[in-house]
This record gives sequence, C-alpha cells and structure tokens, in this order.
Amino acid sequence: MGRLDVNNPQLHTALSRMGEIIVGKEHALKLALTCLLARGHLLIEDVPGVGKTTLSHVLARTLGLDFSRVQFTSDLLPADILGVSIFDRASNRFEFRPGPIFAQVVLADEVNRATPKTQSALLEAMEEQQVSLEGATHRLPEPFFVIATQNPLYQIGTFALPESQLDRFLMRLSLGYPSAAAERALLQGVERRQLIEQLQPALDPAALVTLQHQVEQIHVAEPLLDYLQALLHHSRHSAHFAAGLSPRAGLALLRAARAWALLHDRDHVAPEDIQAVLPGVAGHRLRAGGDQVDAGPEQLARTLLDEVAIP
Amino acid sequence: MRLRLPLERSPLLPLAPHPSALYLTLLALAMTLLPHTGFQPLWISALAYALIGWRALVEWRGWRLPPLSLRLALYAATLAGILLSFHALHGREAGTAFLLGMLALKLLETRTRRDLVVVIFIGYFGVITTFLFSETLPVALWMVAATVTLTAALIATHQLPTQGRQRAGRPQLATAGALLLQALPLMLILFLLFPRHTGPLWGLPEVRTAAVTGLSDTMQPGSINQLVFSDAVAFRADFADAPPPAGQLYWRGPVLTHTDGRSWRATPLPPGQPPRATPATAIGSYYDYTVILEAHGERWVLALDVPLEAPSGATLIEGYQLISRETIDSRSRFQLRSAPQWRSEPLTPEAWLDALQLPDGYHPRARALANQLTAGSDNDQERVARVLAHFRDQPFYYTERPPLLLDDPVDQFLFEAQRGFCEHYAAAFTVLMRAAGVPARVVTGYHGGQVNPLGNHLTVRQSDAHAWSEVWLEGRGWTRVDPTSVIPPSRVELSQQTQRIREPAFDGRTLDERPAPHWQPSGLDHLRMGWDSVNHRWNRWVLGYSREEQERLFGRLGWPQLSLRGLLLTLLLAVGIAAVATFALLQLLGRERVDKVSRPWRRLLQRLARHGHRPERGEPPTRFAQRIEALQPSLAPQLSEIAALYTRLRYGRDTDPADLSCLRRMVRRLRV
Amino acid sequence: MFRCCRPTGSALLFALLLFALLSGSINYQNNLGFLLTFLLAGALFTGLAHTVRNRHALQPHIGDARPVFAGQTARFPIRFDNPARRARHAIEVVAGEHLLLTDLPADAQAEIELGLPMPRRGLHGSGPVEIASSYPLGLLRCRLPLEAQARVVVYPHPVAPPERDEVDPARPRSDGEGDEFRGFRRYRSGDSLRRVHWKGLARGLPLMSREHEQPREAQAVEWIDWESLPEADTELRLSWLCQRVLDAHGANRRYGLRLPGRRVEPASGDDHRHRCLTELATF
Repeated sequence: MGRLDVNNPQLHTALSRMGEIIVGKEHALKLALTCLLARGHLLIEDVPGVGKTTLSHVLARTLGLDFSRVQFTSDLLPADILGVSIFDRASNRFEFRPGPIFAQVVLADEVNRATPKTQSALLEAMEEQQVSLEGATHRLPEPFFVIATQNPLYQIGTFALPESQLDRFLMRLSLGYPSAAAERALLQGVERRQLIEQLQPALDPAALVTLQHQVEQIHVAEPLLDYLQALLHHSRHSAHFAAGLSPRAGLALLRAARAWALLHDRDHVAPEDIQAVLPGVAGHRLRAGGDQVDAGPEQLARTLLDEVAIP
Repeated sequence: MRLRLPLERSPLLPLAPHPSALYLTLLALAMTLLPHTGFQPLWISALAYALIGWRALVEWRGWRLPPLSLRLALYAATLAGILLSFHALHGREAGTAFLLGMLALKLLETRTRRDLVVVIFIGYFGVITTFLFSETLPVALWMVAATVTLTAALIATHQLPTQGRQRAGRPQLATAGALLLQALPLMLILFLLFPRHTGPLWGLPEVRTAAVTGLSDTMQPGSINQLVFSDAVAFRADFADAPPPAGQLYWRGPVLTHTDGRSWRATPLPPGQPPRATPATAIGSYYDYTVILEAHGERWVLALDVPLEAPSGATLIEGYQLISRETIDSRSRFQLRSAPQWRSEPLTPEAWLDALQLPDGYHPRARALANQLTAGSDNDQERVARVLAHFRDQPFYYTERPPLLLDDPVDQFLFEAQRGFCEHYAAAFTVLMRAAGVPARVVTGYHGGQVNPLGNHLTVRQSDAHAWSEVWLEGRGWTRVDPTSVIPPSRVELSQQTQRIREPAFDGRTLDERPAPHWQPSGLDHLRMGWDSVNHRWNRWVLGYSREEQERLFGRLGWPQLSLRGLLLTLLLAVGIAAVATFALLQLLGRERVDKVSRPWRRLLQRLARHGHRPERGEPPTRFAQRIEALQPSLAPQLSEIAALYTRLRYGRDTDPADLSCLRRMVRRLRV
Repeated sequence: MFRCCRPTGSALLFALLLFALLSGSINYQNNLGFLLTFLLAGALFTGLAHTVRNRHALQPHIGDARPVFAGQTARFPIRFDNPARRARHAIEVVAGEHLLLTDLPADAQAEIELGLPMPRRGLHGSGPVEIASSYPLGLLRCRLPLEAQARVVVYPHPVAPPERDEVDPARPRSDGEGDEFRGFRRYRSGDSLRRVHWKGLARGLPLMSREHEQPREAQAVEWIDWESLPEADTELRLSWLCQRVLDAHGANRRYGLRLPGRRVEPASGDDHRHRCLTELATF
C-alpha cells in the first residue's frame, strides 16, 4: 500500500494568496477551504459587511473556480436560482437556461430572507448535486460549493433556517470583526475588488477534485475513532447539552477532520484535527442544556472538548 | 494505663448513611430469620418480623422512633419471655433466641451509621446461629444470599446519602457480591488448612432433637400396627469399586438376642468402652466403602453385613456390631470394610445359652410347631429349610398394616393373624429356631438402598429399615436367614408408596440370586437422584470435612504427618500467597490497559506531573507540549518533537517499529 | 500504598465478631460456621484491596481560594481527575476538623469547594489537607495528604470609619499629580522621582517637585490615608481603611492608598481594589 502523498504546496500557495486579501482571518479561511475539500457546504452567520462576499469571491478565484452570487430576497423564486426552461421558437423546443446555481462556487447571500420554499430548492440541489426540473435532470458542476450567509440579527420578515436544514451544512462559521491591525491594513490598502481582479489562481478544478479524493484516503486510527465516539457519547449524555450530536454529525466531523489533516500535510487524523473543526462542524448542532443555556455555539463546543479526555 | 490503638475515628459517622442502608439491613435480617422460624418459638419470630416491619415503616413514613421507656419495657418483656420459654439465656436454643430478640429490639434504636454497623455485625452472628440448627444445602444457599445482602447493607452504610437513590440497593448488592466472590480463594484456603485439632471449647453441644429412625435397640413386633414410613435418608454409602449386588445389601444395626416373650432387646452396653469382640473371618473378597451416617442420636454404626474391623472412633462388639465412641449427633463418616461371606469363631457356652433363651410360659404353640416341623431332622440346615418352607407354604401374608398382637405376639402371628412385616417374621422365625434347638437371634438394620448413578453412591432411607434372623450353623457359624423374603409376591400387600422401592425384593426368587435392582427411572426420579447426589457431595465434602479429611489431604500432598506447627506455617504461607495474589489481581484489573505506544508517553507525563505539569482534560499532546515549552523552556527540551512523534505513532498509519524505539529512546533520554 | 492506611473502630468490632464466629464454629465443629467465618475474613481483606483501589491514583489538585474578608469562609477549589473506568465513592476531604465528602463518577473530572472559615486577615494557607476513603466496608481508612498548599488573601473585616476625612471626597485633595503643569512645590516624601525638578537641584535650588494638575473630571483622586484616621488599634484602623477602599471602589472613583511605609498609586478597577486590599491584609 503506497503512502499517500499529502504534500500539496498548491494548497499553501492558495491559502497565502487568500490571506493577502483577507487579512487576519487565517483560521476562517482554512476552515472554509477545509469545508470545500470535504465536499461540504458552508454557512456563514454574521452581520453584513465583514467580508463574506469577498471571502467567497477570493476562494473561487484562488482555486480557479467560477463564481456566482445570488442575493436572496423575499420575492425570490426557486426558478430564479435553479434556472428555467424557455421555449425557443427557432428550434421549436424548450431550452434550459441554467440559473446562478450552476457555478462551482455559489454565494447564497442572506438565505434567511427568502421563503422556505426557495430555501429548500437551494438546499435540495446542494444535497443531491443536481437540479431536476420538468422531468429533466441537470447535473451541477464539480466541484460544487455553496456558501450561504445568514444575518443573525433579528429581522422582521425573515425565515431562519430550521435545524434540519442547518444539518445540511458541514460547517457554520462567523467571521467576526477584523482585528485592529487587520482593519487598519484594510483601510489603508487598495480596493479589495481590484485585488481580486489581479488574483492568480493557484489551483484548477481538476486538481481540486483530486484533492477531494485524497481527503477520503486520510487514515483514521482506532484510538481516534474512540475519541470521536467519546465526544459523541458525552454530547448525548452530559447535562450540559440538551441535544447531542447525531450520527450524521459524527460523519461530518470525521470528514472535516480528514480535510483539515490534509490541509496540514498529514496522512492521518490526529485529535487536534477533530478539535480544530469541532466548533465549526458541531457548534450549530449542539443544543445547550443545564447551566450552559447562555453559552454560544463556540462556547458549547469548547465545553465539549474540555470535558472529554483524549484516549 | 490507657490503651492506645492506632485507630481511625471515621469522621463519616455523624452523617446520615445512604437511604438504602437501613432497608438492605432490614431485608438481610428478615432473610436471616426465615430458617429460624422452624426452630424458634413462634413468638420470637413473630416479634422479630414485627419489629423489622415497624422499623421499615418508621423510616418510610418518617415516624419517630419509640421512646426509651417503651424500648426498655420491650427488652424486659422479651427477656422474660425467653426465660419462660427456655429457663435459661445460654445454650444453643435459648442463646439463639436471645440473640435474635435483642437484634430485633436493637433496630428500634438504630439511628446513626455506627448503630447500623453494629446491627449488621450482629446480623452476621445471626447467620451463623442458623447453622447450628440446619446445615442443608438450601439453607446454606439462602444464608449466602443473606450474607451478600448484609454486606451490601454495610457498603451502603459507608456511601454518601446522595448516591443513586433510584436504583435502591442494586449497585451495593453487585459490589457486595463481587467483594465476597473475590474473598472465596482465601476462604477456601482457610477452610482447608485451618487446624481442626481442638474439640469443643465450652460445654458439649446439646443433643439434637430426636432423629427419625427406623431402628431402635428394642423391638416389639405387633405393638405398632403401622410401619413408620419415612423417606428420610438414614445414611449414604460410597463404594470404592462397584457396589455389591442387591442380595447382599443387608446393613447391620443392633443385634437383638434377649426376648421376654413380647419384645426383643440388645445386650445392654456397659458404660464406657464396650468390650471388643473377635471379628469374623472373611471368605473370599471384601468391600471397602465409606458410610456417611445421618445423626440418629444413638451409638450404633450401620455396616454392610458383616464388618471385619472397627473404623476409627468405633468399636466392634459382640454380634459384629459397630458401636461409636460417642452418640451420633451430627452427620458422621466411617471408613469400613465388610465381607459378604464369612466364618465365625466358635460360640462360647454363655453365648450358646443366650442364643437359645426363650421366656418361660410364652409361645407354647410355637414350641410345639417347631418340634413338629423339625422332627426327624438331624441337621440344623435342614431344620432352617423346613421352617422357611412353612412360611412359604402356609398362607402368610406380608402387610404394612398388621393386626394388633398384644398377648403372645409370636403365637398369635403364627396361628391366628398370619399377617405381618419383617419384624414379625424375624421374631417368629427366631423363636421357632430356638425352640428347635438352633441358636438364633434377630438382627435389625436396613436392607437394600438406591444406587445413584450420578454420584455412584447408595442412598439408604429410613423406609429401608428391616429385621432378619441369624442362626448358628455348625461349620459356618452365624448365618443370615431372611424369613420375610420367602413370602411369594402374590401374598405381598404393599401401599402404593412403598411399592416402587420394595417390589424387587419380592420377585419370588431367593435373595442371593437376584440381580442388582434396576428400574426405568422417570424424569422425577432423575431430579430426585440428582438432588440426592448433590446432597451427598455436600455432606461428604463440605459438612464432612474433618480432621481426618485434612490429614488425608496432606497425605495426598506429600506431608502425611504434619505437626500443628507445620500446619499453621502452611496455613500462613498459603493465606499470604493468596492474599498477595488477590490484591495484585484486584489492583491490576482495575488499571487501564495501556498500549505500547502510550506507555512511554505516560511515563513522560508522570515525570512532568512531579513538576506540577499535567495536561488538561481534552488537551492534545502537541498542544500540551507547546504549553509546557512556553511555560518552562528548559524543563523538557524536545518535548514538542516527542509529542509529535507520539501523535504520529498513535494515530498514523503503517507505524514504523523504528519510530517506536525512537520514541522510547527520546523519552528515556529526556531529563526532566 | 499502605503507609497511610489504618483500621477504623469498626475494624476492631469486626475482629471481635470474627473471633466470636471462629470460637463458635470450633466449639460446635460446624463446617458452615467455619466457611462463613473465613468468608468474612476474606471479605475483610478484599475490602481492604477495594479501599486502597478506591483511593488509588486520585490526584487531586487544590487551588488558591478567591480573596475573602476576615470572618468569611474561604472556598478552596479542589479538582479531582478520576482516570479510572470505575466510580469512586465517598471520598473524604479533610482539613483539620472540616470535612467534605464526594463521589466521583467513572472517567470524569469533578471540582468541589472546601470552605474554611478565615477569622483573621492576612495571607493564609489552607493548612494540611488530605483525602481519605473508607469505602466500601468502613473497616480501613486510607489517607493521602495533598502535597500542595493553597493560599488565600484575607482582607481585613470592613468597619465604617467614625468620621470622614476632612477633605470632601467629591473634591479630593490635590496631590500634584496630573497632566497639566501647574508649578513647583517642595519635595514631599513619596513624590515620584520623575517629578523631581532635577535641573533646579543642579542649579542649587532645594529639592522640588513639579506639580501637575489633572483635568477637572479626571481629577477626582481620593487618597485613603492611614494618617488621616484617628488614633486607634492597628486592626481597627485597617478595618476602617478597608471600608474606605470599598466605598471608593463602589463609587467608581480613582483612589490611592497610603500606609506607613507603603503606598499604592491611585487607580481604579478590580485589580486596583485587590492590590489595595492585599496591602491592608498583609500590613
């Protein structure tokens, strides 16, 4: 059995190029990339203006992927995302006009402003990697990566994603405000848009698909499975959590941890990989209970990690 | 001078014990009391159960405990009751009653942890007193359950009151079971090796309540009109080889020589050591076997006809009877040797006269019959045959319900009733033989026995009690004649109950021709035999373990003559080894299994812990290493490298053995 | 492992029981009696092994307590890490005559607080603390003294001072510290060396300090001064000062503390309060 070559300099190049534009957010960038490598989708929950769009744009650009952005509004219809079949008089038949979802990186901005019907159209397409319209099935491009954003502030007329839908996102992140130094660099620097235009791709889609395959071959040792199971068990039985992690959450954790390990040039998953991705992957799947009711997702994940010993 | 003991005053005591402690104690006491209900006056058991119930109610409902005056009154009343019932406070019965009464009353002032501990300890004492009354396997098993419950109560007493109220008692019972199971090796060693040299420390145990037995040293045919039928075991016999055929299974008990016309009795034993008699001489082979005798309160030892020598603890006296040195008040075992064919020494003149003695004025018709039957015969053997033929040919019946024969039982039996069981036949036959001038006597004992294929032993029950005759024949000496056996099966009236056991004895053939009894055992028989076999082993190996057995054990181990000192040394050594082994095993079993990769890392962690550095729960090794290096860079150089290597070895794929030895080397070289 | 294990009073009673059972068994030559006696003797031993195991490899860590005022109870956190796969029962934490009991679930961490009354101010230790256990049978008690000593700062008991300082706290006396230069005044002991008018000294002038003035709103500096209090017992004076510090902190003012030979520069906030009160505690 040949050793997996996990040395992928293109990934580091991509990361450093992204870091030049999005300053002081290395961890969030890494997580976003991890999510992409693990073939998951990303939900960013944050107030507007912290760079969600920039992040998606930069990610697509650096990885050599095509990018589209859908601004969700309350009057957005499923067809506005998926596409429509239009009757073409010339050829005398219906022709499918793909919607904005037919891109490799899709930014679904403010998904919570659309109606549940529209939301679920997007989520179904995400889940199945294809769009079925009027009897015809259209495959989505590969790789396919959705970054959805949600505004956490209370807003009238929004439809927050229900828990069952949240589960379809591999990770949920919040970017947060930039640090003072990063903000200064941002204020002093050149217009972001301009920088993105000049950005050179570090990868191409084919290489990315190869990397996604490599993720699946990252080794997971027995003691690590023990650790993962201990985490799941604790989340289900401790008084600190009202709802524990589902088996699907366990699989998601493992997938993300594998991608994280690959990103760090390792051919095996170590406990720190699980720990690094757990807040993003499990934070939105944990429900606080007992004395932790005030704790946010980050804090909850921290509690879980602090309470379970590594075997 | 004050005695100073290195004792710990447990500060636990003022705190309330675990709520299940009291309930477990009450349950255990109720369990302990159950077998006692059969042996104690009813009022003691009733009182104890009432107090247990009361205490449970007090706890459950949160009532107050009764005031001191009421308790004192109850104490006084119980004491008076025991004195009235037993006229004593000591001794087996009264002592036990006293103990149980006080134990139950103590419950009414049980509040603290310390009180509970005392009650539980006395409870253990209650368990042991049960064994003074019954030692059967079911009682013993029940008492094991009671002991486990008591121990669980003791454990609950030392637990915190907050712990697991919902699963009341179960974890404690599990712990107690484990604790006692782990104590088994030590118990076995102590049991086998503890010196059994000493006799009773104080007053001899009281005589047991009269045991049921089919035998006595007097026999009054006709005065009891119904055979006492008891299924109780009289004794069990273990044969080293195959047991003798059924025809030879005559178990010899008291020999009755003297008759006053109505009853027969044995020669009274002189006090102290009875005179030894010359044993019979075996013709041909003999049997070696062990008899485990149930307590019967008399001194005779049952042996297969006829015993050749006396076992230890018994004497062979006149009439080939074995007499134990002490009355058999508990189950006893004897190593015996018997010969089915034997030759006697010549009779002394006194013995000759004794064996011909007939009371004056009794049995006139029997004497006449004897003369008539044996007229013209010059051979004792022929006389025996003619008298036996009379029983066979005349309408004599075997019945378990003979008519009452009160005036001259022999004449009435021979000429009027002609119905009776073994005692009637043996007595009538012996009288007839004596009247004919042939020395004769009655032998009582047991006949037959059930072979248990599961245990390969014979079980003889009280219902197997039997009486037969012995006649003195020139050239052969005392010869067994069983007149009952000549009655043809058509004239046997058996109750349903006895039929199964007795029937093979009456198949019309003479006894010596018969094969060993065999029958198709039913499922119930199997159960019965299985239970009998278990009981037999229990008796033999547990209850029968004695000084002799201990010596035999040591003989088998190669130290046949071990002094008391040697025994004590062996005991200490064995206990020490078992204790260390148990302890080590318990400590090892409780420890986590550590794989070979983790072992060097754990060693390193232990060394770091001495400097106060421990990984937080959930802190991965690499992060821990970084933290320590940042905190105290000089403490452990290369710690990060070691942590990284450890992580790779533990979680990576295809680990290289060289990497593992590298990890070990790095850890060894690291000077913390 | 056995060094700190001692039989308890119950053990003596148990030994008596065993002796009674044994003599009874010998007297009646009762084999079942022997079996029970030896079973209990064996259980005594396995109980010992369980007790040792119950306490084994528990490495509790006692932490410093948060500061308290004299007369209050200091709470020392004790953290247990039970790495074993069995629960530990009835673990006692003993500090002098104070006792705490806890169970530890299997493979878990637990933290309990040991409350010790602190009647006097100062820097106090927790005193010797040991953990012990006599579970399951209560016949043997195994102890383990904790190596580390935890500490606690005990502030003086606050007592309201008889009268306020002659200076209105709303307009605290100026001490010449601030941002705006006002002029020179004679050097007073305790003035910062940075404010000494070194040039003037070089010119032969007497030792003088530069006086600054703070902007109006930031100037509310209160000096809590030992000297400003009437003569009294040291402890009482410290108690008064303690109350003044608390008042000043409660009113969210900037304040400083002056004690004979000690001085805390004016500041505000929790850290500052702690610094001042610690000075009072250790005075």
